[in-house]
Amino acid sequence: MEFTLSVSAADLLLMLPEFLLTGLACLVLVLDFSFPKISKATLAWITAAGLSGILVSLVWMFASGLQGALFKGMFVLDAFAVFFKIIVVFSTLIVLLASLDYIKRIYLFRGEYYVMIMLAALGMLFMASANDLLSMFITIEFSTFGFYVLVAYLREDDLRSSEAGLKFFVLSVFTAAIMVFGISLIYGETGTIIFPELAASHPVLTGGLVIGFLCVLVGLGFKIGAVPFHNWIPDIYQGAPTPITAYLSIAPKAAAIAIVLRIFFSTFAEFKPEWVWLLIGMAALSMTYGNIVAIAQKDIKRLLAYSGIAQMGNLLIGLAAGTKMGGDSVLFYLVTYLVANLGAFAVVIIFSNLTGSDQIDDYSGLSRRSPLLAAAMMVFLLSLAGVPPLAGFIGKIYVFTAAMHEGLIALVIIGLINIVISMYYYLVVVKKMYIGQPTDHRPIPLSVPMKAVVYATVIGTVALGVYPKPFIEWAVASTSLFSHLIGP
Amino acid sequence: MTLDQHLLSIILFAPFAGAIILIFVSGERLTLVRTIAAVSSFISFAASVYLLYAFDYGRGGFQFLEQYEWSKDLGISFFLGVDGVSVPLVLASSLLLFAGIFVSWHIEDRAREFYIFLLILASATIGVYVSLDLFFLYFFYEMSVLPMYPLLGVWGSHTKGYLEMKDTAKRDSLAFIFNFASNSKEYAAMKLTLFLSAGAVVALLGILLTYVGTGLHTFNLIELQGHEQQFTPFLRSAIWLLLFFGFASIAPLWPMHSWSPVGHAAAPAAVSMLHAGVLMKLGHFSIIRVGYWLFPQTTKEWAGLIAILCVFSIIYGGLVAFFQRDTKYVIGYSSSSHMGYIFLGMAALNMISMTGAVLYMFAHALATGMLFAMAGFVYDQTHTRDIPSLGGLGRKMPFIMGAFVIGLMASVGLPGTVNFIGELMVLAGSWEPYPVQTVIAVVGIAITLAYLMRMFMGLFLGEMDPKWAHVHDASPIIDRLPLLIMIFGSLYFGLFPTQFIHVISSGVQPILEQIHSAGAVAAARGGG
Repeated sequence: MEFTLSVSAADLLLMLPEFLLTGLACLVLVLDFSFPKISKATLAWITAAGLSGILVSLVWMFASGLQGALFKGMFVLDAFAVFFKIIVVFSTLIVLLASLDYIKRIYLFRGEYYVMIMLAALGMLFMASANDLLSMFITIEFSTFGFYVLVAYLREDDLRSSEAGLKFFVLSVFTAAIMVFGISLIYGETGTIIFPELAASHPVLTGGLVIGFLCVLVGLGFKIGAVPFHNWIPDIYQGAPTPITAYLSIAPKAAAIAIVLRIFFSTFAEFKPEWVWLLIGMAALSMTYGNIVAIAQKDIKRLLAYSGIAQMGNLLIGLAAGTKMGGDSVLFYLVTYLVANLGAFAVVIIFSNLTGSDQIDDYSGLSRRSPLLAAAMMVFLLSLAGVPPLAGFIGKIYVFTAAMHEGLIALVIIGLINIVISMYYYLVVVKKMYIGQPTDHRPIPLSVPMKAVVYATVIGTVALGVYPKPFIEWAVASTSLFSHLIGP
Repeated sequence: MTLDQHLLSIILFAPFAGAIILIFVSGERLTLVRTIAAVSSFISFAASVYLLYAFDYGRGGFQFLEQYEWSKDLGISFFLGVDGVSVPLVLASSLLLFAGIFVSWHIEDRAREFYIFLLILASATIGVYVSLDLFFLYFFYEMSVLPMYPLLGVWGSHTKGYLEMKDTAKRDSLAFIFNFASNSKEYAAMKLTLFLSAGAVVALLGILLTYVGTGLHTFNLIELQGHEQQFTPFLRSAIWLLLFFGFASIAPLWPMHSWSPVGHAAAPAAVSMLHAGVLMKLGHFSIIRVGYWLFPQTTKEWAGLIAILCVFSIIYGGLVAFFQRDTKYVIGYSSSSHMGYIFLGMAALNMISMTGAVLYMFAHALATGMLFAMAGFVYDQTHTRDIPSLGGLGRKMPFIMGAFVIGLMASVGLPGTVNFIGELMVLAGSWEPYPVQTVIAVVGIAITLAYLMRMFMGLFLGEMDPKWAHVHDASPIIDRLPLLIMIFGSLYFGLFPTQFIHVISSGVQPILEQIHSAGAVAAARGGG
């Protein structure tokens, strides 16, 4: 069979953000090599400006309702993909700004740091558009390559960073192998790898297909860090440079959720009675395990790592609902998690820039040293706990309502119990910041970009809680591809 | 007219606006911080006094409606409105907030943050009382719980037993936190927050089941009303019980009360006032607003349960209060005992007792507010709440002693105070359905008198320890103003309760009509 690609210029418009990002990454790389005297901060600002431009192009794509498929349906652009691309680019931008001060700790390859971030982002942009099993695999691996390097970026100063990099690499490759095996099984059973064709072929649920599906789920579960595929998260979160931890905690998860939604909600939608139990189990285990283990943590990055596992469990409640509303709630939840989690990591970055410590005990008396940071951290943590009037509360209510409509009462009860458990460890941090006495009285300086990040995420967290309407509508509009699903 | 249209928004958002302005004010400028807090709470207070008199009780029903669409996809609208049940509670909240600002005038450590949390706490409480959307009711309910954590943890106080322990390792050990008599404020704050959040999520489950069960895709309380029969008897009982126990944990109904005295004791005076005065009433109010309003027939079936549990509240709280050494524990247990009267009035399901119960909620807010303000004042002066080590303070603080007598009278429910009317109505109304409980409740009044007299004598009479020579009486304006407002409210509405009773009964009547007609319909159905 002759394989031809007939792609017109108009079609390539569908890949505009990817082209722009590739160009930007190359530009920064070339500038860094060609002009050794150029300051790294300048490179960062060029990157930030470029990312803002890409964000604008994405908003334009959403507004214009552009959609289509390329390369025989391997790459698809629809409102759903654009939603996730916006999330990825936005979090990349925030992570970049949050890295500006942090990167001064890194002595080598500062220019490449930005390039690596952009290449990882590029992989994730493709993930959001991946529409068949092969491009899914390739894009996931593409985005992970950037992270292999980024996680180990502190190798000169911190052994844990190298360790994290190695662990991440080994585990990632291991799950990738499992996923590839699963893909081959699915292909063997159905004869196709393109999602819509898979759905249209109405496959019979044979043993091979089940095993293939489960193997793919292993790979995806690993990316979103849900129990029982969560083991890599705490060590790698702790060891990686904190901005990268922040990045890892949101962008790859979001992009993987896009693929998970496409697979569960479109490709294998007809097997909902079978897969719903998998999701219920993963959701319940992730929430309970993440929250209970988080209680014992002494390191704020590990605490946020376990909290992230629990948050993914919450998100899976919406997935388990398996309806259009469930999809909406997942998308909305992701936005609420994004702002609060990035904000919390921003505070951790600022704090460790001054003190070099991530111990929760060292946060004692933060409210006296920096009222702004303490208040902001409290807002983020309480939002993650799901307290009104903050973003997380609306997100939680949304997924619970979606699950309730499908009669998943037991899962909602587990979720509700977990809210109370999680409140404990988030409040312990609040307690340290507000009630504890500082051992070190130095005020904490805030640079302009960090201030911008903190303000933006605080405002986002509160705004999403007080007036979520535009975001809910955005989520609802983005999931129109799931309107075939029965349910409210 | 425009003012009337936005009256509830003003009451609700004035303290919020104050809190937001405070974020941008320097914490160093204490006077400015206090003034902003006082002004914003005064706007809310003045508007709710106006609300009481502008409320048209002849018309009844929900008034001063404001509705804005919030999320169509979830069926949520920002829907405000008050009926006769919520008007007195709105007034009590804003009054106690205004008084509380002055009670906490002397706080200097991070005063700005203190006032921000206090304003959020009070306006979230008001938000529950004025919400006609189930989602927002819960939204504000949960929102009012969280500020308690920093308020107790940062500005609260340890109990004496805790401070006396020298072995700090033992003091902070896990086993120690179960030692009820000697708690740290951190423990109290955490216990309170987790307990109330747990109660809240139980209620939330009930709310979500209601929302999904009706299939109306709306949280609007008025539209949800009248769909009780869509639920199976098992499901509606389950929902009712979830709502009841969820909300009753904040009330606090025995046996879910244990967070409350601990929390009262640890809290700074103004927070204790708001906590006992209006936060605990969120429980009764939400049960009436959600449980009674949406599930009238189920309410009738389960009212007996309330009548049983309330007796334990009254007697247990009263007896434990009698044996406390700590002033705030006395008032804390007294509050949880008095909450039993409100439950008794709610259980009786007739006009007199329900009206009395709502009136008593208002009355208790003022009475307990006074007592907590004074206990706080004495603590500020002496740094102890231990009754046996105090005494003879009457000579040093005659004004406080006088005010305490009035607070005591109000708490016991002597004629002339609004508590008297509320208590009398509750007892008169519940005599017929629950004679045993009513007799026990009367005994409870005697117990109240006993422990408050004991506390009064312990604080103000007898020999004064020379080490209290430095204490002084309430300063002319800042310290006396809040007490005078509460005393005035208690006496004024005790002598002229007509407006109040009209307003409250206009709100209670439709709820009771629902309950009794629903029962009749069901009985007719069963008979046919």
